[in-house]
Formats: sequence, structure tokens, C-alpha cells
Amino acid sequence: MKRRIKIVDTTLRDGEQCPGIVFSPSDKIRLALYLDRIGIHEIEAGIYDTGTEGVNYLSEIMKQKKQAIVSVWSRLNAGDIEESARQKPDLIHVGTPVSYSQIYNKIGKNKKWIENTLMECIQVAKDYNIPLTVGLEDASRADVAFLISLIRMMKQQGVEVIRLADTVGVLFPRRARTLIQEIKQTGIQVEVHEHNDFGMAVANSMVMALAGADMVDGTLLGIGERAGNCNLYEFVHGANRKFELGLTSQDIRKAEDLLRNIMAGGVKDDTSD
Amino acid sequence: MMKIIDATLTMLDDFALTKELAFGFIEGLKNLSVSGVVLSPKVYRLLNGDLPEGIVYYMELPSLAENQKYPGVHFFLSSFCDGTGRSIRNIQVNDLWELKGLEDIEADKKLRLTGLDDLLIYESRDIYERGMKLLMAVSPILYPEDSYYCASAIAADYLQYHHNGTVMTTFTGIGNKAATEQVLLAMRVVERYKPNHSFEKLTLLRDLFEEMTKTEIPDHTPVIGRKIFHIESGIHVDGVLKKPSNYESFAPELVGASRKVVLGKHSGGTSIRYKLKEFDCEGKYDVGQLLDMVKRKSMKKGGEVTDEEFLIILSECDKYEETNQNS
Repeated sequence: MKRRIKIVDTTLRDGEQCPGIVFSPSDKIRLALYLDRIGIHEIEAGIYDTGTEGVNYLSEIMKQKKQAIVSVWSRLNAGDIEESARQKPDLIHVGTPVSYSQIYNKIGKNKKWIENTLMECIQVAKDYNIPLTVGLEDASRADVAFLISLIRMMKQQGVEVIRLADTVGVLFPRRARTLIQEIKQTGIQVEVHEHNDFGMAVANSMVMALAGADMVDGTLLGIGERAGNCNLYEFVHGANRKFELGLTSQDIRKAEDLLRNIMAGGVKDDTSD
Repeated sequence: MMKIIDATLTMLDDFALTKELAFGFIEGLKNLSVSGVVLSPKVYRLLNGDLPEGIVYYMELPSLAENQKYPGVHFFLSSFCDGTGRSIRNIQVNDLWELKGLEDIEADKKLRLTGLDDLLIYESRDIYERGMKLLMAVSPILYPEDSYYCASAIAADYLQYHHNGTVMTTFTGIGNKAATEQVLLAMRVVERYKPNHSFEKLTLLRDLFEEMTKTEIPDHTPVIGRKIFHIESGIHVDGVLKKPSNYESFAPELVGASRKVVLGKHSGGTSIRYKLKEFDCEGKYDVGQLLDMVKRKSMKKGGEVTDEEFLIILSECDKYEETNQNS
């Protein structure tokens, strides 16, 4: 029997971060419900942000979806987690910088601050009784010892899933494989999130799934920052031979058609959400 | 030393190439420190035997008896090996275990292995490691196929294991192969391959490739896409402006590209301040108000807000201010 790998679609969150791509609230609802229908395990619907598209689209997706888990991405900030929790998604995903580059150069903090703030965020999600997954941003350039100590800490607080984000797309199959083997020793469930800067996102995701990852992230048409994310069609095409994914590459093709149709849609003016 | 051989020109027999385009493309590859180029007889004839110097030439040739017709070509690829040292035997390998049969091949016999699309799709690391050891023992020119979208990764992985290995690739991966530019940059970044070499000529090669194939390479294609260094979302713009390596795995200049901050739905205050500085308008406007206007504009048009549109927004603010002051 094939092992189950859960597919996480992040077209509506990371995919939309591709410069120039804009989804209206109604686009997001259409796409999310289609992804739900074809059997995507989790749909990352967006970032909590009342300033742009509002939050009503999220409640609409939650109301109409049949099976998928709908998650919302949040910064590592207890206030943002609380606001996200108020929208009552199935899951909150908290992006947590873990490489020294991101901790010291980008946000100007230190490891202790990361640990403390993360524990605070976990507590807020617990207070609202909403599961939280932790995205280890730039994990591919991070100190593995720090990753492991952070994972142990959050596991004690009840976190069950972490996302290993190859934020700048620098993983290659050899390192991708060993990274999963190292992290899996903690016993936590691992979701992998690959970027395609060197054209390796699909191969890395495949290698990481084979090495023991439990969930794989991707986007329709591989859209995303820079050279994009793991292309879901391409991943499913190969991975279906080895894993039970709950959907086929043809299902993804149809969703891509819908996305193309939306992206070619011209003027949008339903921003009154 | 690892070697990369480019076989793009063998994929273009059906395109209307000119001698100038093909010649320029080979010159471009040479500038990128590609060690060899594979020609088809048709491209050779187009070049009229006028081959740029400083690069090793290979040719796909079904019948080795004809090799005298192609002076300047160093090696010929075919299904046979004539023992002259100039022929390379091409073998299609569909499974790792087929490599076992190649272990005893005489050391002077050169091989090119094509296929191995699913090399990375093995559950057991042991199987994979043994397969890679077999590959290293045979030490062929590896020409992986891309049926599972893993060819560039397979080529890069082989070179990471085998520092004296040789891979064959094509530009953009045309013909279902590994992409030359991806393998080249991957080796540059992870293995410090040609650390002092500039790859800025990749943009020239991209333009020549588009002209030869009459196609347009998508803007977000890895390494060579025209928009891979465009950034919009607030969190990324802020990170890149603080230190580019926060969100860039290599500097745009390395591949002849440049960074651009794009305004849109996901912009943050940092992007607005950056643009105001670019237009020499710092401190004259309310950043929060401008950000709101930019987001609305982006959502209304369904795309990025161009610099021209941003300037119109600024002039609208100016007019509003003027009217308010006069009333």
C-alpha cells in the first residue's frame, strides 16, 4: 500500500505573491472551492489583512467548502495570530524566521526573541482552540541544531506539524534528503515548501517526500516569488507512482485551466468585500 | 573537473536558424564556460564548418563512416564505438539496475547515458546510493531526461557526487532534458564552480534562443526569466532592501539581470518610500494614503501598478492638495 502524502496548495497565498498577480475575493472563493472539490488536503487561503481584500472571502470559503482544511498565514506576532484566530479558519500557519540571515539581518532580533514570541503565538492559538502549524522560514540555510531545539520546544507545547521552507530555493536533492532525515528524528510531522530558483523544486519535494516528509506544498502553474514554487501538476505527475495523494495530475490540470482563466480575466472590480 | 556539454543546437533542426544566430549561440556558451557543444550535421552545414574556437565539438552521427565529412568535430555520438577514441557510444538506460551490465566496459570506451528520468524517485536511499556509485564507476556523460521534471536536479546531483563528472544539457531544457543554465548556476552556487566567472551573458543567450526558436521564455523561468528579481510583497521588499541575500540566492548581476521593486496589492510602506525616493519626492506625501491608493489601483486593474500609474497617483494627490488649499 502506498504511503499517504498530503498536498497543501498555497496558490492563494504564496502564489499570489508573484508580482503582478492579483486575485479578487471572488477569484479566491472560486479557486478555493475548486481545489476543495478535487481533493486538495489543505488550502492556504491568504494572509490575514483587512486593509486589502478584507476577510469576508475567508468566511465564505469556510462556509461552502466540503473537505479541505483552510489555513491562514500569519506573521510571528501574537496580535496577528489573535486577529487570524478571530476569522475562525481551520488552521493558522505562523511564519517563523529561523536562519541567522532572517533573524538578525531581516527582523533585527535574536534566537531568544524567536523562541519567546513563538511560544506566545502558540499560546494565543491554544486560547482560541485553533491548531497552529509553524513555518520554519529559510530552514534550508538555518543551523540544524537550532531547528531541532525549537522543534522540541514547540512539540512540548502541542505543535504537531512544522513546515520546512526553502525560502530562497537553495536546496539540492542531496541536502534536501539529509535535512528531512535529521528533522524527522524529532518525531514531528514535516511539511515541505520548495522554491524553484534553480529549477529543483519538484525534484527536491519528491526526494523529501521519499525521505519521510508528510506533506508537500505547491502552487498551480508553479506561480510564486522569483522563479516560483513547486509546480503541483509536475509533482503529482511523478509522485502518484509512489504515494497516495488523493488526487491526480489531471485534476490539477483542470484547476490550472481555471487559474489561467482567472488570470486572463482582465478588469476586476469586486473589491468591496 | 566537472564538465557541462550543451546539446541545444541538436534540437533545432526544424527551426529556421541562420549562421549568425548559431555562431553567436556557440560563442555565448563558450563565454559561460560550457566545455562542449553538440552539433547536428544540419547545423554543421549551416555553419559551413566555421566553428568558433576554444570549445570541444561533438556530433550526433548515426553512421561513423561519415565522420570525415566533419572536420573540426572532436567526438561523434552514435550507437556504436569504433575504438578510434573519437566515438562515444550512446546507451539509453531506463533503470538503475541496467547500469550493472556496464560495469565491465573497457575504460577506453566512452559512453553517454541517456534516460534515467526516475533516478531520484527511489524509496530507498541505499538503492539510490548504490546506483550513484555504479554511475561514478562507469563515469559516462550523463544526459538525463525530464519526464518527471527532475532532469536538472539529476544532473546537478551527479556532479555533486562526482566532481570529475560530465553532464549533457540543453538551454531551457528543450527536448525534455536538463536545463544548461540551471545546472550551471546550481554548480556555481553550491560547488563554487568557476567562482570568478560572470554568467551575465546568459541574457544574451536567452535572447538568441528566443530568436532562433521564435518563442518567448516565460518571465519567471529559473535563472533566465526577465522578472525573477522583481519584488512586490512588503515583507520581501523590506528584507531585500535591508540585505539582498535575505531573499536572493544569488545576486541578479551574476546573471546579467537587475532588481526591480514593483508596486501592487501586496506592497508595504517600504515600497512606497523606495519609489518616492526613486522619483525624488521623499517626505512630500502621506505614505499610508499612497499605499492605500496603490493597493486599490492594483486590485481594480488586476495587476501591478506601473511607475507611470504611480506618477499619476502622485499628481492626483498634488491636485487634491492644491484644491484643498485654494478652497
